[in-house]
Amino acid sequence: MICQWQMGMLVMRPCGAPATSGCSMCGRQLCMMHTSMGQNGPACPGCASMHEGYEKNEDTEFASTREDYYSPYGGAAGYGQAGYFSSADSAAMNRPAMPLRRSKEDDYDAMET
Amino acid sequence: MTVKDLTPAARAAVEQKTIGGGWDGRALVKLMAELERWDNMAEARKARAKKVFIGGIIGSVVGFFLMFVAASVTEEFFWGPPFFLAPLAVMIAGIRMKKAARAIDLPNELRISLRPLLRQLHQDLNPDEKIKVSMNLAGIDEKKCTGTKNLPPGRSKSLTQSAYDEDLCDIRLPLADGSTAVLRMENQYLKLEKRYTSSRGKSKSKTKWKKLSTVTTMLIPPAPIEWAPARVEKLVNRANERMSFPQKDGVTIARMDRYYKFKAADDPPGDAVHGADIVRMFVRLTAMRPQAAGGSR
Repeated sequence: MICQWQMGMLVMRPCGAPATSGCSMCGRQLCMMHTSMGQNGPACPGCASMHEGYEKNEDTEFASTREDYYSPYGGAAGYGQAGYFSSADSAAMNRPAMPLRRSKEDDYDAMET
Repeated sequence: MTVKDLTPAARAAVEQKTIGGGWDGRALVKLMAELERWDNMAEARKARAKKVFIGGIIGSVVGFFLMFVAASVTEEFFWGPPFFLAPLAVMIAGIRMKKAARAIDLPNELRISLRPLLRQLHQDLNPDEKIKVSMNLAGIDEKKCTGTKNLPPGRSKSLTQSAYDEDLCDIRLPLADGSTAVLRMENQYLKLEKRYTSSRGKSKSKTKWKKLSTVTTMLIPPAPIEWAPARVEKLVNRANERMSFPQKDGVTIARMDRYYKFKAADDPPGDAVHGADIVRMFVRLTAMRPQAAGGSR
């Protein structure tokens, strides 16, 4: 069994290290490096970042940031449904669609001097 | 913190105000972290210099009147000038401190845009290939004006616009799937100087700055592929984003440009594009790849 945690932001691929445990919440096989221990038992960085009782570290922070980037696309036809992500990614990321956050600068007219 | 406390690579970057060549991903992230600390120190010095300068101005004004009071109370002219000259010296020291802090300052894009970007993309990098970097850290140089023009003054006496260009960086990130992510950042600073007559008949001037930032992200696939722009079409803000697919060496490149505008009075704007915005641009480009070109499966 190998670790099923998806690494990367743009090019996602499984960690591939030998698995030593499984996430008590999503069931993914995990290596030592990607296992966070907390009140609900072992968890992957993604689940640990979303639940209380887990220590935050670089991996949980990264997982939370990635979730934040991809959540606007969650329900849209495209990412998960178009086959860009693996089924594990889709399951992890398919959440109700959120409107794309627009910053203040969005009203910028490139031609304005 | 002095230049001597920096590693040789960071010292070279601070002294030469440029970063170039091929870099290992981890080494570049470390360098950015070091330069961020340096820039934070420079920002703190700038803030301190500003406080000293403002203190000097207030002291000089108060000291000017105290000079006469002291001279009349003591009935000796000798006791007056120190009240004015001491804060004046503080003000001059503040100007010099500000100049010195500006000389060692690095563009804020380093802290706000590039370091967060590299931190978030470091897992995507191909460890066997080097990141090609060409970064200009000199910042805006007011001596190198690229053009001045007189704008219609309206009710003012004159309105002059001066432009300063800054090619900030060109970074090529080799990704783990064989494709290359390219980031280009350019800034154009516009200085607007308005001269006008106040209601009391005094001649006055006002300076405003605009910073127009252009961020270009490109994704170059290792082999020709068919992009699927329909996936992100609705997620492109046409007001400030442009999507294009230029051809180069038989390969179609996905390109996204985004424009930003920042404003400030008196000094050039210190705002910069957030690294998260650039990651979002790359996320949209990668989403247009067909699965065969290196999706996660």
